[in-house]
Amino acid sequence: MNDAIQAYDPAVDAPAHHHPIYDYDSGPPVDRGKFAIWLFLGTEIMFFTGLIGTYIVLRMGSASWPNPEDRLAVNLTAFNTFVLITSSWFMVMALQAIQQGDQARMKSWLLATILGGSFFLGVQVYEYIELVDHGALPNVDIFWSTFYAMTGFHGFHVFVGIVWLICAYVGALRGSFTKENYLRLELAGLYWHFVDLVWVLLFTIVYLM
Amino acid sequence: MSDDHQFNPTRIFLYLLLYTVLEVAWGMFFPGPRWALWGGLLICAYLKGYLIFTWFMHMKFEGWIVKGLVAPTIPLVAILVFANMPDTSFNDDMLYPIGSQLDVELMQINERQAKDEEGNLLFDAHGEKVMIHDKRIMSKGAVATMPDKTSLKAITQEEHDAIFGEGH
Repeated sequence: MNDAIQAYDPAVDAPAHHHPIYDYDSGPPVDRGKFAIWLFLGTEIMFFTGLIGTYIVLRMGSASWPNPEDRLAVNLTAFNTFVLITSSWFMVMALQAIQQGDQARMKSWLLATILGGSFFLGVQVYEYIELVDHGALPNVDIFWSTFYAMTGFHGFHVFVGIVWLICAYVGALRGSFTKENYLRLELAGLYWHFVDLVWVLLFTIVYLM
Repeated sequence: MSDDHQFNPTRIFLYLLLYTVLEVAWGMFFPGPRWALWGGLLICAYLKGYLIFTWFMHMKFEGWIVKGLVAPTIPLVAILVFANMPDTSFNDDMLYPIGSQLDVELMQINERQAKDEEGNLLFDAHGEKVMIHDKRIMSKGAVATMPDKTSLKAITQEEHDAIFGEGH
């Protein structure tokens, strides 16, 4: 009896549907990855709040502020916003596909998400090139300083998100995700939705207000 | 995300598209005052953010730990924004608007409404006066900070009153 207790390893001997429970496990009763990504997203919320808060101070304190419509291609960016929101929807569809065990559909939706994000970033790069060609540099005035700061940092986040999704796609091609194991795909999706959420706010504040 | 947390993402997506169309149309074509323009835009942005956060990011189905991780950001965001309010000025109420500098000789802010070459007063797209703050840099002379004229429309005071009403 004693030997049997000592030989028992919960990581090996516990029933497959049981998560092994150790007596020294004092972590929160939630997936570690999910805990970490939400902690990270909390810091990201504060990061973008800092940027937007600075924008509010500078804008409301300025004697005048140009009409964004006169300076920016609002129609093009509105379309780009559609694309990013659509890619976020693709991501949800990819996750639902793997929850149903449909590997092929999951890969297709995931690839569509990556393409949508890449298109968004490509349009943003095109917008930057056009603006710089017309002399709209960050040091021209406070409008352009805040514009490049906010959209630039967001663009960097989109880039990171695309790299993350590509890594997830490579994992999907290797069969890393199953109906029972798709947490890493869910975490990538959470980050991607956050990037989408931030853009919804930035588009409103920078391009429409 | 477990299987009992299924929802219809396409429906949420269509709502997001609808709110985006409404928002863009409101932002580009709404003719009313700025507070109504901005209010409508912020409501649309809130609705879209709420849908993404609640459904796409699955917060609706998360437990108290995950919600507790995000909850502190709400008061922190409020503190950051409202603590900066004194600096945001809302120029009409501020003694020293950002961009202005106290004239140490006259002991007053050098501020005047911008005019075009023909002497017409300038107003921005929302009917707000465009102000110029003259800066006196010690004894080296006055430096005027000129507003960006690409967004300005030169109209007379009479035209302004006809569009925006007297005393706006």
